Amino acid sequence: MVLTRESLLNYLSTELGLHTDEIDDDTLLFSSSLLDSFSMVDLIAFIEKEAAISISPTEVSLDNLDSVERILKFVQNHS
Amino acid sequence: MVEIKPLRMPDFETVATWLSNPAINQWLASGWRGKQVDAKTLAIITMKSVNRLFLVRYQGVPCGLVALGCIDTLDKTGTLWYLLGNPAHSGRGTMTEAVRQVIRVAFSELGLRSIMASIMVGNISSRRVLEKNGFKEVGILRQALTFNGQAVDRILFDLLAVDLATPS
Repeated sequence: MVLTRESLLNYLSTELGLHTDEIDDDTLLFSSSLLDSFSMVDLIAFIEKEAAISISPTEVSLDNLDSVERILKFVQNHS
Repeated sequence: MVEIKPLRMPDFETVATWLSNPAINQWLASGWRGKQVDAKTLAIITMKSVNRLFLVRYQGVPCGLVALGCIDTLDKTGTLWYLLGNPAHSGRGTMTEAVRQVIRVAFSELGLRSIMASIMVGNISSRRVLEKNGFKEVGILRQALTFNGQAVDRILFDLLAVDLATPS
């Protein structure tokens, strides 16, 4: 399965309540407190399911997961 | 000997097991309650600068967790919470000492001015930990918690840096 920008934005909007028309791909989601910790837990579960990957605790970082752009890049490079 | 150290990856699994333990989980804030916590959750929590989690070790063996959350560097406030992962340490003063060490970090290293904590009404052991560290009861949020399906009161405490600096 593939995680698309559209499906990611749709999840952020419908499940996590973000106004995705107000965020850019490089908007910081977690460090800016748009998402709280438990929303991040749900988001990671969504990414894992949608992209059919397993994210290890060592991969959980702001570099990998703090924006739409970073998430898509991280998933794209995930082996 | 009780010591604290910042919670890091190798200990995430141990702490996640404690947080998921129903006997412990039932006392946690609503965000944690009823959830199976894993190492990934703790990786998320710890990567945010508003949270500082400390593993408590007694003679080198992990036995508990003390955390500062909602750290606000502008208002210089934070929220303290803690748990004893190993019940064998109950009543030995382990958490009291661990909390004392985290308070020192909060006021000295992080420069906080006030630490808030809360307990469920009737949680005597947790109340003792706070009071032994100088926390003062500052109010009650009535029916602010749900425990075993019942609405129960939440008792609020705070501790100011100046409280510790001023002999009582």
